[in-house]
Amino acid sequence: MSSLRQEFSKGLILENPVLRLVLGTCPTLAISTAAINGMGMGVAATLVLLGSNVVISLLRKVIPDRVRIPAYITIIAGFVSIVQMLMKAYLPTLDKALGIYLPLIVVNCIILGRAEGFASKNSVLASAVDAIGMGAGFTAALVSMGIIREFLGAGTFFSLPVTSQFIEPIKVMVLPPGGFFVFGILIAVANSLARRKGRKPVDSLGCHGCAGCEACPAGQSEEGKLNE
Amino acid sequence: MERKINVLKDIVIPTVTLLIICVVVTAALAATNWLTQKQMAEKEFEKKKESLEKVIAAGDYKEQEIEHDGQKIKYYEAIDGELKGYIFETSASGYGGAVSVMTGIQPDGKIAAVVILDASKETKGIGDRITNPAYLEQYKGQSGQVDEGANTITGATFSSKAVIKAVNSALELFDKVKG
Repeated sequence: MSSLRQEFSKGLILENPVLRLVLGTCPTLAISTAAINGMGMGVAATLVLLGSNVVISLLRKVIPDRVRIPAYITIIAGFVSIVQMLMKAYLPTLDKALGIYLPLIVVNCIILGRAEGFASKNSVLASAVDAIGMGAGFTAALVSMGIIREFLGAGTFFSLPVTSQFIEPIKVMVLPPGGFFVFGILIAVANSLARRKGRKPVDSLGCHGCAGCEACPAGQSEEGKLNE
Repeated sequence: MERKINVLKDIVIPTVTLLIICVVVTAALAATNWLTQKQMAEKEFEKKKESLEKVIAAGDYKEQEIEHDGQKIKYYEAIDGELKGYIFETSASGYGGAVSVMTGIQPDGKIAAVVILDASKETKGIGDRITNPAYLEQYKGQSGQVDEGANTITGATFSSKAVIKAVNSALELFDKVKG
């Protein structure tokens, strides 16, 4: 039971996909101009992640190694399309706001990374918990970025006016440069929180920090081992 | 890796497995599409109706078609007992993509109201200020063609110009409809 809790909580801070593993940066920066967009993107990605992790974990003994990547991508793309259709039908405004980044969840490396790095080797329950934890971490990162950028850049909180009536907002915060400012600061915060827990920061840039390491020929080669 | 290829294990099984996965996923997509189609169409219709009512309030909207530059363009006649006006959907490219605008024009050629249908490609907090009702208010009552230089929002020139262009093409269509 305690290991399941660990699988869940690792996604929040220690292995937060956005802030610690630095995966999925493109949608993160593009979407987080408003808190509600971050929330929508986070929830959509979590649903896809949960679906794909569970299915891939169920099929992990059936899918032959040679075709696992196309199989994973097919399953992930299927879930993304389903989520998109549902969103178009029930939340059309959110669908418009997310634009191209919703279908691009297919190639979001968080999803494929968890499929390859976790769901393909772990039980269904653990994979589901992993997906929820990672999804929660992704959502939390996107929403906090969204709240900060929206408040500073538009003077609103979840579209409710806070300071927008009497203070001219700092427009740059909702533009790409503001995204990078907030992103950097949040990474620093996440690193310091993780360090407080007594762990070393994840070496995300090295070859072995990659979620697909165990399956990657480069990661398993002698050179890859040397890099460690 | 020198290894003899086992036809069944290395070729047939992976191919068949992938095929089955693709078929199942496709079936799931078809089912979802079938389930959501009606809802999607309804939502779209509702949204359109809402915008139409904002532009010119009327009991009935009759869909019409007109040829313009070799293209068939749909427009609406707002009817409430008598003809209250014409409603056009036009778009022009703004800063990040197409800005689509709905313009209602009274039979006398004056603009009844302008509503932005889609400005989601414009910069958040800057270009999307064109959706502000106070900005769109100034189009009311204008006729002929709207002056390109006027009516722009500082810092949102591209987006404002897109609105003006779209409104002007609606006015053009109106002239065509009127003959």
